[in-house]
Amino acid sequence: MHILLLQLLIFFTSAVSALEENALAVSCPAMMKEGGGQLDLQKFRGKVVYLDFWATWCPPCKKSMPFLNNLRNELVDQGFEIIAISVDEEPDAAYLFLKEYPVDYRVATDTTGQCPKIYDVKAMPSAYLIDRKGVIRYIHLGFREGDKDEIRRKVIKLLSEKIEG
Amino acid sequence: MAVTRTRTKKNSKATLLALSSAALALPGVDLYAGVPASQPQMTSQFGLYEEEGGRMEAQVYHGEFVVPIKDSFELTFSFDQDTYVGATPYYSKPSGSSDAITAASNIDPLSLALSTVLGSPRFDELLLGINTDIASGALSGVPGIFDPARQEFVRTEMIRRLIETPAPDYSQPVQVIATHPLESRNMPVLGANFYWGPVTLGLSGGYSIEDDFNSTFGSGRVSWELNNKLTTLSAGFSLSNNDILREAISPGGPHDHSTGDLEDFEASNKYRTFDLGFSQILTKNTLFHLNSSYTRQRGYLSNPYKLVNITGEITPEEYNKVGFIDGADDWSSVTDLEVAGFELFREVRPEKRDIWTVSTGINQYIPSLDASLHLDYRFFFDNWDINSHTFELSWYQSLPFGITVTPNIRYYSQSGANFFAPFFQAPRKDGNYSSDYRLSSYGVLSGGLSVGKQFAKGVRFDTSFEYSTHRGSLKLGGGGVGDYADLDSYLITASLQVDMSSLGRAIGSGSGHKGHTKHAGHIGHPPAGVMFGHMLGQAGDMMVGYGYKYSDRSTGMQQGTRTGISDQELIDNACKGGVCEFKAEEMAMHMHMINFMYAPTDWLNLMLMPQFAYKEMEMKPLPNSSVTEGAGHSNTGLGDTLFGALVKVFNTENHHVHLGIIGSAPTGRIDVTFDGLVNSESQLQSFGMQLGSGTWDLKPSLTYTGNLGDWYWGAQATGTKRLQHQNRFGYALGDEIEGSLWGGYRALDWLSFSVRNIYKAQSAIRGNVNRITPVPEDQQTAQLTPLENPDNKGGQFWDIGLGVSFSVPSGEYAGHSLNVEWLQPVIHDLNGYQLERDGALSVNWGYAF
Amino acid sequence: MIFYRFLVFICLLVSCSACSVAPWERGNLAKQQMLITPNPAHAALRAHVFDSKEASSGGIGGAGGGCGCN
Repeated sequence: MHILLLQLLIFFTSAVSALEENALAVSCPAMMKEGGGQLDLQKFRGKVVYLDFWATWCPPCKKSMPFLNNLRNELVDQGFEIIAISVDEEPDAAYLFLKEYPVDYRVATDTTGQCPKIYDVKAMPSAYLIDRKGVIRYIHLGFREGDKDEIRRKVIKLLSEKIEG
Repeated sequence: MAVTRTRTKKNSKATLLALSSAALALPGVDLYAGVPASQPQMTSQFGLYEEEGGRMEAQVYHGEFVVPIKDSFELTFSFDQDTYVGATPYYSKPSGSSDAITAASNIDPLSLALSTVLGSPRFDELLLGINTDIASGALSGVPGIFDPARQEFVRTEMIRRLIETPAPDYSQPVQVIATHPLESRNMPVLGANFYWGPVTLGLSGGYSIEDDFNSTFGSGRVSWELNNKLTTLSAGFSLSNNDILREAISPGGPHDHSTGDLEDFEASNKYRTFDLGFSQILTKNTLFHLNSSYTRQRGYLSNPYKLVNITGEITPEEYNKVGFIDGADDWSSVTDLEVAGFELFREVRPEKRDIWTVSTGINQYIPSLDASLHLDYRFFFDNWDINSHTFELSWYQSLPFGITVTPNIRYYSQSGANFFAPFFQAPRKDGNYSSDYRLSSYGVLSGGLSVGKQFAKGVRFDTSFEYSTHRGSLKLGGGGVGDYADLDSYLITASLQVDMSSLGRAIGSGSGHKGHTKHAGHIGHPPAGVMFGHMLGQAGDMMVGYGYKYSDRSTGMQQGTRTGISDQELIDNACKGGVCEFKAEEMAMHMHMINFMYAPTDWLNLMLMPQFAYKEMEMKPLPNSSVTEGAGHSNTGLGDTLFGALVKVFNTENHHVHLGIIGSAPTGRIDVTFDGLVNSESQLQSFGMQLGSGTWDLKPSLTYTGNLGDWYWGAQATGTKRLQHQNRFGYALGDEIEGSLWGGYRALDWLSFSVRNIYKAQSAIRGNVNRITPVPEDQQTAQLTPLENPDNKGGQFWDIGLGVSFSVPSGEYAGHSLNVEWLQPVIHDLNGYQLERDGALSVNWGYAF
Repeated sequence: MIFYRFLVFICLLVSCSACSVAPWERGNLAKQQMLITPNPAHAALRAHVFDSKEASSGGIGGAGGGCGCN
């Protein structure tokens, strides 16, 4: 009886740490939309990347899309890019959705669940803000109305950081 | 001897009470833990419930709105209206036993019972061995030449025989059914949900009102997601305070001159419910849930309209003493129960009820079939010894094109309350009695099918049909109450859910929808009082709207163009075949319309508009009438349903012409009566108070609209042509033609004003009415009020309309518009004598997307 | 006694590591057909009808499942 209670206690209170901030962002097996093969984050070195894990079955994810699209178009000239990885297990779900509601930023799909596992995604949606050097600086869980200003602020801050040599 | 009275049909409202008290059992807010609604949503639902052979029918209308205010907070509002009519069991008795019941408890049930026997074959049985003269003397209570003690003995003996012979067949109970009048229940509920991370809090409150039952209720529920959102714990509390009323008036209104007063009755009770819930995601395709609840009911829990048959509660000697000797005024010396007839008493349920439920279920998704299986079980038990089991199985099958088909099966079994019996052969020690078959032992097997389709743009339509069989023999493990109360019924539902914001359309799923350009803020929406004046621009566009029209006439009577008609003039002239005795003092009308429009092509719009009417009238007796007090009556329900098409004839940037081909289906009742009963003896309410025309009608229209800069204008010619010579009561409302001309100015992006000129002509009612007052058809129906005279209908009307429009031109809520218009009478030339028109208000809100 | 056994069962259910479902694996659970009450207005109406015609009431509905989004 006590063992079980203890087990319960541990389970509820343990906080498993996410893929750490200040770790190097790694590439993971997601297929880029519109050809382009597998996701390769090396190609985006020098840019600020907002790596977003989303799905068509996640309402807050879809709610964030117009905002992210606007943000990306506003700051793309400064070296900002968004890569949205859809974790839909249904192969065409993301493509069908984007046909009706297209976005201008980069989209990739991973139907096998490997990418979110590598990134140890804790919530849907999850966003990993990666600086020009390829280091994960912020991890943002979920999406609410009030998050918009904070995200924009952080992106602009990272954009202002110059790469040294 | 007291007056023989046949069983009054007007006073049992058993089902009402049952259905209404069930409303309180509704759970408060059904929360989905964690995720806010994300988008504003509207749901409307219609339900039709019918018992076999139309014994009882209920229509249920439901509308609700969810409005997110912030990410963490949303408001909900819902409104329900139920309308019931039909018959329900009043009580049950052994077959073969006597059948005499009075409505009021101060009428002598014994003499009623005896008087129904006099002259019947049974009288001879009662007489067996007794001298006829003594017997008649004994029964009539007239002191004869015989010794009073002997008379008494004989009488008591006859009463005993009345109770016991012929031996009633105790094995086969028989239900006595009584009809009850049309009744309506309204229930508004307001709620709010708060979302704070893993915790969600829901609060709601509302009330339910009908003629004899009012309830005020509230609930709170909190849920907490933990364990990576795999586990959800929830707890809820709800309470309701209910008042049961029974008024001591004949329900029929001023035209009902029948007797039968019920005593005033007022009681109340309180329900409190506590519940706990647990749910756990077991696999990515499996969800398990478990709930338990406790409900505490205290107060008056019986149904004041239901009776029980008890032998032995009043002995023959007591019948004799109270019934004959004391004058039958007060039975309280021999029984605590309320006497309602011979061997009939009002039921008594305990004043405490403690209820426990435990329910559990599992949802299992099957990926290869894209379907999920839901299995649910509930165990219920209470301190009345009622136990029940509910098993339910549903299969949700997804099909292409956004269609979901869901068959389901439900098996329910309950054991009866310890104080239930179809009839009682001896009094109970605890004094509790009920013959309400719903408290007996039985089982119910139901099978149903639901079909839903998710359209593009966040619109979802569902419909379902479910058939249930209630059988004593279906009780789990046998021992059911027998088949005397067996019943079949079915439920049909249809519902529409619409996402109200452009984001909602993105968030909702859709299928096969092509790129949609934003609906431009349309200038020049016609004023609110113009029907079908606006078309959708592009193929694939849809619109939902709500319209409301209100008018109240209370200024006085008018004939032609003369107002302020005197009572004497009305008495002399307004009623055919006699003098008027009543006049209408005030009539108010509220019409609610729900509008659905869809554009399958650029030049064609299809539309459907169900309507709901609420009408009320106050009548006043004229000086020549013997009646001194006026009375009011009201009706509510579904009106006629409009459907049809709008065809674009001409369209440029500044000018537009379209043709409307609209039909009206006679779905509105035209058999509303004063006493609420639906039979051929009841008196119909006046033409204007009915809810529909009773005929199929055609409403063609031609509309022109134009705009330039901030100015807009338009004109419309429309009319109503009755396609049938007469409806089933032998009359048809007059045809109508109407022309209107308007101009408007857009003052701001979102604000416009309009002025409109309307001319309308309506002819009088045609046909000879078959049934206003129940007199033979060949007799000229003697009319009692100007309202009954078909000549007092129609006329020519010239009005001015002043309107304001608000719209949302851009942004997330683009496409919403609200229009208001006030119609002011200028000159009216009325046919015959009618209430003067005081103006009308039209409001409509539409959402085009 | 039954209550304790029951509690143990719940704890096992909850702490079952094999049952763990990652946030990105909730696609099927997020489908409307997998909600505890896929059609709340319809469920409420059915409950209203059954509660009127039977002696039992309550015990329907529940919170949980769904997409588990933030």
